[in-house]
Amino acid sequence: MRISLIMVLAMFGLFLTFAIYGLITFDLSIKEMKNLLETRNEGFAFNMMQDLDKTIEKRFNDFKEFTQTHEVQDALKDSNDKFRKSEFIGKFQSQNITNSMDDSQLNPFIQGMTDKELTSELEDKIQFYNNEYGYNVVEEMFVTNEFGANVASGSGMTDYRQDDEEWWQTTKNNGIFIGNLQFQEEYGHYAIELDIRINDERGNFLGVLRVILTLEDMIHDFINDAEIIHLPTRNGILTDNQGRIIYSNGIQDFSNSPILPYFDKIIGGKDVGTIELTDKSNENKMISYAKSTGYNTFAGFGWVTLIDQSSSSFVDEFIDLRNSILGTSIIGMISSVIIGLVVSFYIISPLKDLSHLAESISKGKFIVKAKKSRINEIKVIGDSFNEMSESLQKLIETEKKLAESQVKVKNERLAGIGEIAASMAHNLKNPLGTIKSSADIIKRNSEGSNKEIDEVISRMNRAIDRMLQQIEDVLNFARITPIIENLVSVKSLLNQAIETIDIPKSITVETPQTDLFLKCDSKKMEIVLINLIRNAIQSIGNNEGTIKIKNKEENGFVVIEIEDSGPGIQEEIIHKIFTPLVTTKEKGTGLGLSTCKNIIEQHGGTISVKNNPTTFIIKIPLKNK
Amino acid sequence: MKMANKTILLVDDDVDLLENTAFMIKSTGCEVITAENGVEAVEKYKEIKPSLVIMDIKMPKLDGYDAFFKIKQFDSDAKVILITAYTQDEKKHLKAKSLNLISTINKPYSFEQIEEIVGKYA
Repeated sequence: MRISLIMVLAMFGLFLTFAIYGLITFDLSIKEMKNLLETRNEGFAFNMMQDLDKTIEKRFNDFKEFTQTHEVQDALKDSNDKFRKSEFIGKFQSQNITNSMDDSQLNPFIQGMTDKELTSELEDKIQFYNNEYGYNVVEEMFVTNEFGANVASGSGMTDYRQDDEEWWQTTKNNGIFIGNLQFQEEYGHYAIELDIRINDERGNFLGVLRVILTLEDMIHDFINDAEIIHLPTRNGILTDNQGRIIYSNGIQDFSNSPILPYFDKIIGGKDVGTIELTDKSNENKMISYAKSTGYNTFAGFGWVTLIDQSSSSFVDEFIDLRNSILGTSIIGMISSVIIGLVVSFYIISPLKDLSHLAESISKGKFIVKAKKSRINEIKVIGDSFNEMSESLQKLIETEKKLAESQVKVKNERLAGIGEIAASMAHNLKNPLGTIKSSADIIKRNSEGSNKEIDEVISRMNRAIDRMLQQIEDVLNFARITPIIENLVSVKSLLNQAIETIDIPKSITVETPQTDLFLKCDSKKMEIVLINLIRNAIQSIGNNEGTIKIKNKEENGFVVIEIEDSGPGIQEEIIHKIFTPLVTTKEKGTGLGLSTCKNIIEQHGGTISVKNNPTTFIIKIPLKNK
Repeated sequence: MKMANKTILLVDDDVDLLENTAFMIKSTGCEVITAENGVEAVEKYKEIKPSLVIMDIKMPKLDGYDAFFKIKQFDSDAKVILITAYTQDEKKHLKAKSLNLISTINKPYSFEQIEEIVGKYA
């Protein structure tokens, strides 16, 4: 595997792991964050709801306590006494006021019964609240006696009698009446009616206190809380028990405000909880809520506080984080590929070149040069390579020179020996010539006179012939002279060779029909052919036999095959038959075939042999005919 | 074979072989003048103008080729047969051929070869 691939895969894997880790962490973190936010928002909702209920309870208690003050008690007792003693009393007791008396008679009476001190007390109280809080806490505040007539009024009053009102009767009977949240036309905002039965120390009915509390006051703390927790993506909402929005970014037109679509989920849920929603714009919302459970003596209105937070507010941050992780990973993966390519280009390729270099050096090609690399380490290696190849080159040259000189010495020595041998052989020719001519002369002069002498002379002549053959062999082998090439016909070469040899009558020589032309040293080639044909004859011996000589042109070579019907060459010798001094013949020098090999190789050709049938194959390149 | 009036110049530095060869040539009926080196051969050629020269190549003083060239300088029609050996000078051999060297014979030659040459060229 290539280093660059390993690097790319490793880096790619690293960044992939990083990306997967980022994604998993992202999911886990989102969940964790959601849980955290849920808990926190639920806490907010619960606290805000508690604050609201606490505020309302505090107001209720304030007013309850107020009913026990001696100013209220005394004024009512006094008023009730006056009523009982008055001439109207009978009518009040026996009849329904509305039915028996019209307001034109009654109102002036009741007006006259108004307690001035209590009225100013109520006015003070309203003023106190308004000063204390800076807004209208109480819109209306008045007290009726046990007969339903107004005793004192802090603010606003249209009617002097309340005993005909349902709320008055309910309060008288039940001790408290809390009205619905309503828009008060005369004051221009939402308010709620609160009626409290006023008892004396013994619990006897004295009258009723009516207070109209403004919504602004009741949810004042809630608004503060909502403003504190308010964020662009987080909102505090207050609804009534039916899911109509009372407050959301300010007090809403409550009676006309729509019912929250998901309110039934809240009603069906726990007191405190969170629901997740996907709105129309496909945005996830988390709505944490707390239902009113009241505070101490106050049972609560059944209102609900909601904390509406869009998931995107925190998910976005994580998405940003995730995207940056993914971005980093993708950039990382891409850069790992680029780094891989760069590494491959700057390191792997030069390394490959170097390995090719090493390879060619190992194959004996020393004239190589490493490419210049921009990477220092590789440059150092390349330089060492160059130095190495130079040194090797020098070494090889030195070796070559040494070998050449050794060969030269050897060749000179061999040439010297060859010269000696040749000169010896040549020098032997003169005395041999003398012997031979002497034998000839004796033979001429004594022919027929003595048969024994004739035989002696014949033996002498045969010995002379053998000696001559030996001398010829040595001379042929020793004499390595440059070849003189001429274009000659193979057929004429063969004919000349055959003419030179005495071919026994028992042997047939078949020469090729077709002729080929060959560029060679005819004298030397003749020596080769004579040697091969003579060997063939000697191999067949005294038996009948055939020598077939063929020639052909093959792949730019002239091929001459000399085949004989002799017994063949022993297998243990055939592979070294062309080595000097190897012979199968009793009287051979072992130089003939090696001389043939020398001559053929001098011509740039080859000579080989095979058995069955014994065939010598000569191949000589055609060259430029 | 009676060729009484033919004179052949035989040149060889090996006296034994020279004598034997002279004997062989004489037996063909020709006159034989012998010389033992090239210088002597050239001198004798100039002196008697033989009808054929049979001359060894390897000789002291002046070798067969050089003697042949000198003879040819003197008489371009001179008929010369050289007795060749293996260690021959190719250049000189080619030059000799270009100067109408009649033929060559190899040592050792037989009686029959001598008879044939003499019969053919003398």
